[in-house]
Amino acid sequence: MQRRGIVSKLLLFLLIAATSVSLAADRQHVKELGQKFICVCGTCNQMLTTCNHFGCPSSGPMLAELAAQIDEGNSDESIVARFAEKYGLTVLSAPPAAGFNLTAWIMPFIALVLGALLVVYFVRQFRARWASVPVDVDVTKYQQKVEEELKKFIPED
Amino acid sequence: MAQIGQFALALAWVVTAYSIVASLLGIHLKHDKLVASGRNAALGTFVCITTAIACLGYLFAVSDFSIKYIAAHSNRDLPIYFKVSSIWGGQEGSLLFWGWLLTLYSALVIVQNWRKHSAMMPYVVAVLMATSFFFTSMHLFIVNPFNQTVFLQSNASPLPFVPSDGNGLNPLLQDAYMVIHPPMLYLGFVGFAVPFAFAIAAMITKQLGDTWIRTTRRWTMVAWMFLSIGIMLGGKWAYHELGWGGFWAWDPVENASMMPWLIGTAFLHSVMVQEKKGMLKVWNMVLIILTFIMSIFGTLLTRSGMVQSVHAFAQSPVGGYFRAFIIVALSGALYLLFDRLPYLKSENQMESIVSRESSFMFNNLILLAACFAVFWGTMFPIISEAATGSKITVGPPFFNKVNVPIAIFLMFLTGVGPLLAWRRASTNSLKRNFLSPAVIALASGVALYFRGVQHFYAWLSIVMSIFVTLTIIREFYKGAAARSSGTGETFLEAVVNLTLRNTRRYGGYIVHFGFVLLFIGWAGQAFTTDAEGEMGIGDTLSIREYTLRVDKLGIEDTPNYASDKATMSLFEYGKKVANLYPEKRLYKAGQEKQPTTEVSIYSSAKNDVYVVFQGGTGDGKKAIIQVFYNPLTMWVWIGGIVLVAGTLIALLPNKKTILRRRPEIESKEERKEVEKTV
Repeated sequence: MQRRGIVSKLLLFLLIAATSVSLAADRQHVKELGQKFICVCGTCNQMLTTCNHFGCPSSGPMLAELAAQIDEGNSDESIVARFAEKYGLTVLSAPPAAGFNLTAWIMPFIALVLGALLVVYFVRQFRARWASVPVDVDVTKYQQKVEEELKKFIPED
Repeated sequence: MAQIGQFALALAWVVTAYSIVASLLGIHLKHDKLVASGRNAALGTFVCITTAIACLGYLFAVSDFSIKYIAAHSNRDLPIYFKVSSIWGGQEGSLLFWGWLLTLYSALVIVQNWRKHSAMMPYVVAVLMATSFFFTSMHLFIVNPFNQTVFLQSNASPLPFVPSDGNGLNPLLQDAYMVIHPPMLYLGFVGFAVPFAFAIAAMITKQLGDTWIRTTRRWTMVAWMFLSIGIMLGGKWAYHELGWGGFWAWDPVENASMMPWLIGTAFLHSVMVQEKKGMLKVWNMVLIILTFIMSIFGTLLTRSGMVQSVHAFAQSPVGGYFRAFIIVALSGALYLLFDRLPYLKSENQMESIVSRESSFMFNNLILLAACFAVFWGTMFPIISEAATGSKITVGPPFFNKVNVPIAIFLMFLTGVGPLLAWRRASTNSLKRNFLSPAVIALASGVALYFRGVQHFYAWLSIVMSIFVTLTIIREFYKGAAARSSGTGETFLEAVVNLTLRNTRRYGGYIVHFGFVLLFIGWAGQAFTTDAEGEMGIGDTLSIREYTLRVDKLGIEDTPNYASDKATMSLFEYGKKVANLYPEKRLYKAGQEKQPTTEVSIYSSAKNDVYVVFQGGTGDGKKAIIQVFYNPLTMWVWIGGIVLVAGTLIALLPNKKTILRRRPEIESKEERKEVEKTV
């Protein structure tokens, strides 16, 4: 009898512990997924999870909706799709990486790569010009001397 | 007083126009007195706009609500310091303030340089005054701060009237940081007009050596420093005032200040290549033109409301005028640049990809890529809508994903660049300079990983920060040790004198160290956590090693606002460390009462505990409290201070070395030799 009591208390304790863990996990999940959305009240333009403007008519209901969808066991992708369908693409905090909006993501890196290629081309072009000057043995000797002298005059910084 | 202000604006408009015409005509006719008259007119513009802004300040001080701008941005109970800051609290006043700073800069530049650069200065004056003319026209015709308050009658005819009280200043702007943040930001934005004007003058006069760069180097650094301070104070304001727990949200207006800062940073680095090696002349022109254009674009973004922003406090149809000015300024400058290309040839050649020159080029590339990413993300909603017809949002996740790797690579170059030799770096010197910092940084990285720092970007940021710090320390150590052995100074004296003898170089290293600290602060944000609870008196809320307890819930009533306020005790590992007072305020001025959050923060080097009063529960008995645990945030602000300190040091003129008399250094030649080594 006493053992049964201990077991039932232990089960109750585990149930409470599991519930609190599950709630904590949900809260974290809501927070993480909420960062994919923007508050749609039209005035604050803040992330859904950081929207704190007083009396906001949108962020509270949206967060509740988000939590409800998580509780229903919907996948993140389907929740994102549902929000986008309901509120429009403006609800997404970053442009979807598809169609024309893909350019938002790739253009900065294309620019970076093109820029890097330009720098390399620029440096090589200079070096090619430098190398194309005919050099004989005597000139090399003097060139080395000039190099040594130059080192003394060009400041380090 | 409003009439005096209005008259001062009208006079400024005439005098500015005269200054441009007199300067250009004077040069064309080679008429010195006309040129001097143009210069005096530019100084006169400063006097006129100063008078106008002083009048506006007076009108705020006496709460003259017959003026629309005063009625819209202040109220009788507003404290006097906020009345002063109301000058730039709205559209009209902030543009007037912009214009005033421009005339102030112009006057200072004229006083400092008129005799030294007599050929260039009339053109410098013309360019500065042309910019000033644009702003003066805006003040006078488009956004006049001295317009009367009017009441529209039923037949739509305006009837002047004086309201009993004003609408008050936007509560978000009623913050100490907001008193100083806009002036700093504007000093930065406007300051870039000076090097731009010199660049244009240099191209017109074909004086395309490094004179214009040497002349404007300090002006550029001053503008850059003010912009940095402005950005930092803006972050600090957002952290204190917006109550969402962070300091940077990639808002379009924040981005607006970041863009000229990034290109200005690139310019500050690449001018060194021109000064030392006579290279990158075209590139430097492009950079300063873009920096100036981005400053104007930043003002356009802030003031036009073309992109939705939480910061766009004042919006009006000024966008079209700004766009027109940008197009005219950009096309004029680029036309001049193409025309002068033959005069902008490099004096030297790039010899190696592994050299100081090329590291500066990569640094420029990264800074420009970052600027482009910010620009692209900020403008993409407009671009996307134009291309697809549907609206989208580009928020923090986009900017973080794109910019964080770019920023980390920039940090890497911050460590590498200064240690590479000019012309070409040998394999031996690379090993000597980088092996030990790289090994120590990586070893620290491994240790950090096993200590739980497993967020990839945060981990990489910290490893890079360690690497850069070590390279900086190495530079100071190497220089100070050589100096100490050559001069007999103590090591500490040698560090100080080394810095003062080459302020630009060592000031620059200190600026880099400031960035290291900023990076550490940013990395800490990856580990932010928060908790929320409904709390009555005596209730507690725990987060990590801290516990908050509500001691008192009360209401505070002042003439300007009423607030719900909590008095809370903060315990760290059970020991009380602070009292915190988060508030929710309701400002009384205006028809719509405006609420704001006043957070309360406990700061330490390790972390911030950031407490927000979210509101009251339905029964009014409890407060909804949100608390953030923000690791390492203080280092962001310390980094900012170090960055400014480094810039101030870099602005100092180099001190000449006075070697102590040492018996073993007797001859002049020997002394010179020692000076060369230290």
